[in-house]
Amino acid sequence: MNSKIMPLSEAILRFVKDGQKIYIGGFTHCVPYAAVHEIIRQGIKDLEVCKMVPELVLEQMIAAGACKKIVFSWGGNPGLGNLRLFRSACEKGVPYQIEIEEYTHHGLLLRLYAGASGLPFMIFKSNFGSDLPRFNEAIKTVHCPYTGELLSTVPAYNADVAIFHAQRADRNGNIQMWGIIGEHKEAAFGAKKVIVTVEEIVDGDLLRSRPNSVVLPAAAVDAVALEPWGAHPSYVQDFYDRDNDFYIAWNDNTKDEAYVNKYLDEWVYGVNDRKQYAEKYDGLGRLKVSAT
Amino acid sequence: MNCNGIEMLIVQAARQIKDHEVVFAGVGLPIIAMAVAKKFYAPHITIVCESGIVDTMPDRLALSIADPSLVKNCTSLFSVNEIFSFFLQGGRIDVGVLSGAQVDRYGNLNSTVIGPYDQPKLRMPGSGGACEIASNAKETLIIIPQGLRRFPDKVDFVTSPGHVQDPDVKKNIRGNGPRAVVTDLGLYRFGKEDKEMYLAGIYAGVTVDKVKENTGWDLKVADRVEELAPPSEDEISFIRNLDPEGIFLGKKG
Repeated sequence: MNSKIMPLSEAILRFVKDGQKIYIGGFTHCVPYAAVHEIIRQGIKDLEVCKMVPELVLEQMIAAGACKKIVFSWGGNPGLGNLRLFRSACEKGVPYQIEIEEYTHHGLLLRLYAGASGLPFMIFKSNFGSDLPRFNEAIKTVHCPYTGELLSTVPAYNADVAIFHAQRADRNGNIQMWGIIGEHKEAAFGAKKVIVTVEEIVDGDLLRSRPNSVVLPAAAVDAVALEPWGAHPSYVQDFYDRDNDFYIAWNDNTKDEAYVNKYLDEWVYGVNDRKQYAEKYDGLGRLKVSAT
Repeated sequence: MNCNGIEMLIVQAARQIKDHEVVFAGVGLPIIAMAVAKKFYAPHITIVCESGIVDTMPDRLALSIADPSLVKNCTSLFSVNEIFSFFLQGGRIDVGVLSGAQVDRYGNLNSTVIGPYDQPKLRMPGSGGACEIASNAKETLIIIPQGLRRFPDKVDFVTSPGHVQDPDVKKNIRGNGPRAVVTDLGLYRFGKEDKEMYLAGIYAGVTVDKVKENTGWDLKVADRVEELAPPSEDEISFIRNLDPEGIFLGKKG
């Protein structure tokens, strides 16, 4: 059997193609920045990006022309409010018009759950009294066949490729993750291909001692890439802290539209990989935390 | 100690929480308000966040809803699905603390767009979990700085329903709607019958006229408007310690 462990550039080259539907994981914890930067570096275009909390990776993908449509449930800079480039794409079509498809958190989560479970749709209690269903015709209703009550529905979502970052993998490609695990299982089990970047690769015995923390079995993973600091400026529980200064600076500086392009030139196109990024990035060490 | 309106808002919001309640709080002003509630008023509340965090207490500014400072101090962690399905939809949340850009007289909140949805003047983050919190928490507590644009006659978009007027829609919603609205000018409650917001309390130095000038509809006012007690020095020090740079609190008093 060929190993699932490969360089990130090879994983992206093999599995991510123009125009695909990709799910990008990370409920603000373990956001796979290194993988997104590699997608941008490889010039992949016209992706439909699905991500519950798209945050800054979405803006970087918009600026790079990688994203033509976003399926999302909360499009902000976490804690700080609006995303300026996402705003200008929606409000003014600058740098270009992107298509949006919007859900609530539970709605989008259940789209992934249905996709992972082989169901055509899922039911839940939300959206009544909200204006969102008027603008998204995929949000419908159904009467419960048992109680007669009216429930909200959303259709299954199956991504072509799901991309995540996690703490650890073993050499077979089992993925261990702890802290905020977000929507990773639902999105990964529903995707045709799964790429995971990790902080470290360990011997299998270490994972077998904590089987509950293995969120994805090797059988559900197609590629694993070793990418220390692969989630910076987001964080990885017990490895490094969130770079809140980065998020604040992004919020302040993206008032100047050229800032995002300058950022891409320096930190995405200007480096070959995450190793070079980490060597070049002053002060990453201050974010390091020791495992407890 | 001098304090600004946002600091008064936070402390007043904290005072709306009863001990032992399970509260669902978003990042920013809601989580700071719930930290004040737990520290000074309701030590046995359980603070839940949509990222999966259950029973936490921030010890520094939490800039994200999945901030490591919230994870470090929590007693348990769940997946996003478990939080929305089991905690919220399952009926285990007593109070959901919500904010937004606009609120109307029935407590409908907008955090999606200003202007038309298809051609917004301002595109905001959208619902996230707000619609589910409004729909499934037993009650909500709304905290929002006040002004004419934020208190319009009609919100541009209903992201999260308040006290829904149409009974055919209302019957599909489990939650009982907003308990109160707290702003930097005062405290509002809702009529028992008409479910319309009325002014129930104001801070020292704020007049009913000033409140009306900052409300986009003909606001109802309680027969006796309570003067709300100011925050204590300990409370102000505590919240400034959580946000020393004033990222959420703004400039100091």
